[in-house]
Amino acid sequence: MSFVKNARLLASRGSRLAMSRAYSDEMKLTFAAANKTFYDSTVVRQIDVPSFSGAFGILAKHVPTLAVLKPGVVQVYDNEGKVSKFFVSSGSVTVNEDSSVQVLAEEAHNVEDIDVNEARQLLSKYQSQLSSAADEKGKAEAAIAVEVAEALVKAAE
Amino acid sequence: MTNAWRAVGITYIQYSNIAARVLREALRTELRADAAKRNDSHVKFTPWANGKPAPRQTQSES
Amino acid sequence: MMMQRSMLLLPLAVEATMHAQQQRGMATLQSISIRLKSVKNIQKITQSMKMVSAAKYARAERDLKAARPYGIGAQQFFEKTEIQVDEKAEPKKLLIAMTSDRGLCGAVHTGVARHIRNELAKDDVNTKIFCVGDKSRSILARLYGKNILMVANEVGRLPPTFLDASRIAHEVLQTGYEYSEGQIVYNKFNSVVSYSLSQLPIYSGATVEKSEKLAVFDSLDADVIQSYLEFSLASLIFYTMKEGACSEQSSRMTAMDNASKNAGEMIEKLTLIFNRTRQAVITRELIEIISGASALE
Repeated sequence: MSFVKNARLLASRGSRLAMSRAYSDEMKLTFAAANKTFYDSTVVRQIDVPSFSGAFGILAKHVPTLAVLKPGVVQVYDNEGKVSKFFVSSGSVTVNEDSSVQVLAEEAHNVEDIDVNEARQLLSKYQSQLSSAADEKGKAEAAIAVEVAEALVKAAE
Repeated sequence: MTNAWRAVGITYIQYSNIAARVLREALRTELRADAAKRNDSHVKFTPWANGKPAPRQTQSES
Repeated sequence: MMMQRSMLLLPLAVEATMHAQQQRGMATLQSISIRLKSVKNIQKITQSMKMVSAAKYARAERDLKAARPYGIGAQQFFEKTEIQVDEKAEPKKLLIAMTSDRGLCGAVHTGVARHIRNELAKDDVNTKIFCVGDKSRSILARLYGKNILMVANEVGRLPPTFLDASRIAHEVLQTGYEYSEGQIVYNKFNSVVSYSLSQLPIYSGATVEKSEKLAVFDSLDADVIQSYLEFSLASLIFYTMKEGACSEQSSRMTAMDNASKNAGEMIEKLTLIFNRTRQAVITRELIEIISGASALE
């Protein structure tokens, strides 16, 4: 009887050790937007992000890096391999030394929540705004809106 | 290589604000009303100089 | 003829004396009843303010709960990279005071202002302040007006949005004040009855780039770091605004609740005094009538 009790004790202690040893083999993802939190220190397999340094995928033990987001689709692969797609407007990406990843967006939604017809209308609206822009600043702002609308159409189709 | 927007004095924050606004405009109808609340900002700014407010002539855009 | 005149005046005189005596007792009675009415009104006001605060607090607490993972996420890079300020160089500090425009909320604003005053007492040459909310401005302007860079107001009436925080961050960056390090001073919400004064560090691009641990980070160019830090500043300001708003509403709820309770106690005391005074006035009148009647016998 005591043998069983001791064995159970050893087994639980062993699994705890295994968990602490494995922390850097796991990627803890916090993916949150100012309007909603999608993942809060959740262990996932991979996240793909659209950034100004190019689109890239992050897995556990990715080299530490910083990036800023471009408007586009973020794909999260959970431990079962299921993919979830989100559209992000902009934000920051942080990969820390301990394999924790923070993707913070100003605004993000499930891709299904985008209205593709609305996106197409916005694209033509901002394209005409771009051609009729008066100054450099107005042009740059319209160009940003066009870029976002293009990404939205692409994501929603 | 500097971005086109950085070159005309637009910060990443402003870039982000524009992108977020366009995203909100492209949402499904049910979600759009709620999202529109995030387009509002009423904060006003007054620069100070030498211990006194020195209001700007032009208003900063909201 | 003189008799006639004095006959006419006599009842008036009697009435006047009686009136004066009544006034002496009644003046106190009147003033007590005025006070009673005004305290009752104050209690109604503070009770309704408490109700309004309770509703705003419920919303602010929900907002904060949703924003906490975002806020904690935004701090990770700075915490984990252990950025150090260059001790040798002359520091240029920036303090951002996170308050609002509205009072009657306990010690939330004075706490923030006090911390900033203490920092300025140590060094007020190389430190500048950015006030978010009129309350911090009104407390700090007297002694440290020269250190104020800018004041942001119309804060606190509505729940803060990321756009609010973005515009504040943008103005901080546009002041042209090249700070090497700084703090956002705010009230961190703990529970409905408690909040604590806290600070979040903010750093300039130059300070971050000099950090040792940054070497571990891959393929970073100055553009990315600049954009990243800009967005981080907006994120941290957003988070501290949410924390501050929640702390403020809970503190106002408590303050108005206490004010209502105090008003209630005053009403009880005043009512007792009123009744005692009323009875004293009646007794005095009775004594006068009785002694007057007995004098005529």
